[in-house]
Amino acid sequence: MSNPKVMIGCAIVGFFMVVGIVGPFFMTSNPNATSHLFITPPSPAHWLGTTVVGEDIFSQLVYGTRTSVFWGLGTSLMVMVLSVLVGLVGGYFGSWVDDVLTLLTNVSLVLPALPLAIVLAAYFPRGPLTISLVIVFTNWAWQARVLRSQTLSLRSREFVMAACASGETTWRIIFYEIFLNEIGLVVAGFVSTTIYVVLTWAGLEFLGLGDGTIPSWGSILYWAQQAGALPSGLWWWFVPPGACIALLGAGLSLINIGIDEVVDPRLHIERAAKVAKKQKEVT
Amino acid sequence: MATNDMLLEVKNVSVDYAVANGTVHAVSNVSLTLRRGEILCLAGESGCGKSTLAFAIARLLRPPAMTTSGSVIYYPGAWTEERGGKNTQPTDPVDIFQLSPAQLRTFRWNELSIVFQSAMNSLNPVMNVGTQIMDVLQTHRPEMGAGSRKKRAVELLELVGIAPDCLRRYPHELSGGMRQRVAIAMAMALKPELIIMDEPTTALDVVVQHEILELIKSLCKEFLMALIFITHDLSLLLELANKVAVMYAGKMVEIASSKDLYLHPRQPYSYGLLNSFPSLHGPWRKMVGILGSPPDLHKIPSGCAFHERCPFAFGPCTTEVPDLCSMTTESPDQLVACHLYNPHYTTTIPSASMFAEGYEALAEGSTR
Amino acid sequence: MRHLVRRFLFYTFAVWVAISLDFFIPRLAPGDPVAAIVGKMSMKGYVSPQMRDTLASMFGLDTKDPLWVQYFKYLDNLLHGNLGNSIQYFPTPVGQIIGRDIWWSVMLGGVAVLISFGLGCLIGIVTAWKRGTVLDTIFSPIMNFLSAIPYFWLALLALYVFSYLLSWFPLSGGYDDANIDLGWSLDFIGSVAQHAFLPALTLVVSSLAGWMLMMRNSMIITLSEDYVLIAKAKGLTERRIMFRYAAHNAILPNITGFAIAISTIVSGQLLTEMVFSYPGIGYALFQAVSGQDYAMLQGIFLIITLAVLGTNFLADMLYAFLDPRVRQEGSR
Repeated sequence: MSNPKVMIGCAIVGFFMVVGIVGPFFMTSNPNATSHLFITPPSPAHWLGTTVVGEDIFSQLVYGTRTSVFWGLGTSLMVMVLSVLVGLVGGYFGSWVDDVLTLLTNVSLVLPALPLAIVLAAYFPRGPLTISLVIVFTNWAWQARVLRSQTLSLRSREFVMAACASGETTWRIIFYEIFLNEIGLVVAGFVSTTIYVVLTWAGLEFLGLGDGTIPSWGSILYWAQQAGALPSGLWWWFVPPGACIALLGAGLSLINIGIDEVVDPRLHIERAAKVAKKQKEVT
Repeated sequence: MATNDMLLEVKNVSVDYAVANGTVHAVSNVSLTLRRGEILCLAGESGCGKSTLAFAIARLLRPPAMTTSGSVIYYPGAWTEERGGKNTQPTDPVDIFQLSPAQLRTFRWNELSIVFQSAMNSLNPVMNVGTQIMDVLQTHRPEMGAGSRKKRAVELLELVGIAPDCLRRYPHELSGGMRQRVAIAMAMALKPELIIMDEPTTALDVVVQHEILELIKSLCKEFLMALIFITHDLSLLLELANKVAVMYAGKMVEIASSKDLYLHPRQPYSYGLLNSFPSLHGPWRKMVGILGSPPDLHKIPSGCAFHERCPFAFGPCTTEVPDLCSMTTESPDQLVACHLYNPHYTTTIPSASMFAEGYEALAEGSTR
Repeated sequence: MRHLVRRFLFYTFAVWVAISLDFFIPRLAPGDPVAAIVGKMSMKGYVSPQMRDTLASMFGLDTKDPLWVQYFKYLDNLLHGNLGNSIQYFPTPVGQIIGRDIWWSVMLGGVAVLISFGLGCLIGIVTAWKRGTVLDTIFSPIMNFLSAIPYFWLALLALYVFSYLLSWFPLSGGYDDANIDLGWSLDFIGSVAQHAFLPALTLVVSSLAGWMLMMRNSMIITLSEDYVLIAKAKGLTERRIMFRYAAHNAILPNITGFAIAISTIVSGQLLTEMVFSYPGIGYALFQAVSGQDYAMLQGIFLIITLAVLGTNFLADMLYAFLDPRVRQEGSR
C-alpha cells in the first residue's frame, strides 16, 4: 500500500512498538530507583529530569512505552474478539439470539463508558489486568454493532446462501464466507479501538486507578499531577508522556484514514477532480 | 426545416473522463439536431455515452467528466408570460456551453428540465413532494404567491394523474410509479421547451412502464415539448420516438426517423440491435445477436469503433472514422456513419437480407 | 410517535441496568472492602461508628436481609432521591453535593457542545461544498491533526501555556472564591467567564475536528446523490441546494453520531474538569476516587448516566423531527 498516510502512520506505530520491545534493554537506570536528585530538569545524566522522589523520567517513559503500547494492543485485541463474536453470532443467527445481543449492545453503548469504568476499577484490585478487563467490558459494543450490520448484509448475499445450500457447516460459513469478507472492517476497527483504548487507559491511570508502581504513560501523568508539576512549571514531566500518547494516536489515525480512502472510492474523487480542473473544462 | 422550428443544435460535442490511468473518451464528436415538439430517442448499449451526452447538453457533468469541445445552440421560443414569467429571456439563439453561471441558472428548468431513472433517488427524501415542486416556482417565478404556487402544484399533479393530497406526502410514502409521475410533474412545472429523460421507466414494472409512456406521449403532444429520451430498450423507443439516434462507443452511428430505422436500419450495428429482439410475427428466424462486447473506452479501436464486431468490415474500416452523413437518396433524412455507404468504396447499398446473412455467417464462423 | 415510545422504554431499561450495576458492583468486590477503606481512612483521621455503618450498609454487609430485599430497599431509596451520604464530607448527602456541582458542568459542557457541534457542522458543510479549494485544503489537514490529540493532554498543555506561562487565565476553580461572592453580580459573571474560558476552549478545539470531519464526509457522499444534481438542474440558489437538499440529509448521520458520542463527550468533559480543577461533577468524581468516597462515586455515576440517557433521548427526538422516514417505522 503506497498511500503516504498509511506509511507514515505505520512508521510511527512501528517506532513505538520497537521502543517498547527493545528500549528497556538499553536503559541503565531502573525506572523505580529513587535518588536524592529531586525534581531536576533535563540533564546529561537524566535526559528528562527526575521526579519528586528522584526517579529518572526518561527511563520511566521508555518502560512506560512497553506497558502502554502492548497492554493497549492486547486489550484492543480482546475487545475485537468479543465484538466479533457478538457481532457475527447476532448478525448470522438472527431471531431471539440477535434480539438479545442487540439489546445488550445498545445498553452497553448508551451507558457512559468512562464513568462506568471508573466505578468498576475503583472496586477491584489495582493493576493492568483490572484496567484491561474494565476497558473491554465497557467498550466492546461499538465494533459489535458495526460488525453485526455488516454480517447482516453479507448473510443475505448469494454466496452465503450457496454455501448453505451446499451443506457447509455453520461455523465454516461464519468463518470463511462471512468473517473473511469482513476482515477489512475488522482491521480498521482494531486500529480505531486501539486509539480509544490507549486514551482511556491513560485517562484511568491519570485518575490513579492503576497500579502506580508500574510505569505507563498515564501513570507518569498521574504522579506529575499529584506532585503539582503543572503549577510548578515542570514541563519535562508532563509534556513527554502526553506527547507520546498524542503521537501514537495520530499514527493510528493516519493508518485508519489511509485505509478509509483506499476502501471508499467516493472519498478520493478529489484526485480526479484536481486533474479535471487543470485542463479546460465546461461543467 | 424552417429555422423557427429548430430547437437544439448539438455540434461536435466531445466529453472526456479524466481517470487515474488515462482519459476515457466517453463522447466523441457527436452532432445532432432537434426540432420543437420532437421526440428523440438516444439508444445504445450501456456505456456508449448516451447519458453522458445528455448530461453534457444540460451542463450537469461532474468531475472527473468534462466537455472538451463542441457547442450546443439553443433556439429559445417566443417569449410569453407563461413561459418566461417576468424574467427577460434571451430571444436569440445561445450556446448553452457559453452561458454564464447566472444565465445558466435562469436557463435551467425554464427551458430544459430532467427526469432521472430512479425517482427514489431524484426526490429529496426529507422534503415533501409539494415543496419540491413548488421550490422551482419560488425560485424562478418570484411574482407568484404561495397560494398560486400551490394551485399550480395541484394542477401539475392532476396532469400526471396523482391526487392533490399527495402534496404533503414524502417520497418514501409513494410507490415507484407514483414517484416517477411526481418527477415528471416537477419537470413540467415551468413549461420547458425540452425535457431530458434518462431511462425513466427502466426501474418500473412493465405495466407501470406502459402507463408512464402513454402519459409522456400525451403530455408532449399537448404541450408541444421536445423530449430527449434515453434508453437501451429498443421496443420502447420505436413506439415513442419521432427520431432515433444510435450511439456506439461514444460516437453517433445512425440517426433516422423511427419508421426509417425500423424498416431499414442502415448501420450494421443498428441492424444487429434491432434484430436482437424477436418479433411477434413473421417467419422463423435464427437469432444471432452481435458477437463480441463493447470496447473498453480507454482504448477505442481505430477507424470505425465497430469494425471488430462487424460482419462487413473491410479495408478503410480499420483506419478511417466514417462520417455521419446522408447516404441514400430514398431517405435523405437518415444519417449513417458507415463506409458501406461511401460512394468512394462501394456503389451498392446493402440490403436487410445481406445484413442477416452476414451476421449469421459471423455467428457460424465463431462456433466452428 | 411509536418510534419515540419504543426509545423511551429502552432508555428506562438502560437506567435500570445502571442502577443494578451500581447495586451489585460493591457487593462483588473481592476481599473485605469495608475494613480496607476504614483502614486507609483512619490514617487520615478519626472514623466514626456512623461512617463505618454507612460503609457497611453500602456494601450490604450490615443487614441480615436477603439480597433481594436489600435491592428493593435500594430502589426505594433512589426513588426518594436518596443517594446516600458522602464519606469524604460526612454526613452531607451525596445528592446535595451533586446538585451544587452539576450546574457548573452543565454550563461548561452545554456551551462547549453547542459551539463545537454547531461550528463543526457548519465548517464541514462549507468545506465539503468547496472541496478542493484553498479553504478546504487548509482546514482539512489541520482538523485531521487536531482530532487525534487527546482531550486531557490538550487541556494540560493549554493550562500550562496560558495559565502558568502567560498568566492570562486562572489556574483552577470556577470563579475567584477568595474575593467574590456567589451571586448574580457582574463581577461574579465575569469571573466565571474567565475561569470557564480555557476549559471550554480545549473542549471545543478537541471535539470540533471530529464533527467537522464527519459532516464533511457525510456531505461529500450526499453531494453525489441524484437529488442534489436535480436540485442543481432546477436552477435553485446555491444556498438552498447546500442547506435544504444536501446538508439536511447529510446531517442525519451526524445526529446519530452525536447520540453515540455523548458518552465520549461526557468523558472528555470529566477529564477536562479534573485537569482544570473546575468545580463540576468531573472534579467531584476525581476527588471521590482519590478519597475513596464510594457513595459519591456511585451517585455521580447514576446522575451522569441519567444525563447521558436524557440527552440521547433528546437527540432521538431531534432526529425524528428532521427525518420523516423514521416517524412511521418502528425501528431502524
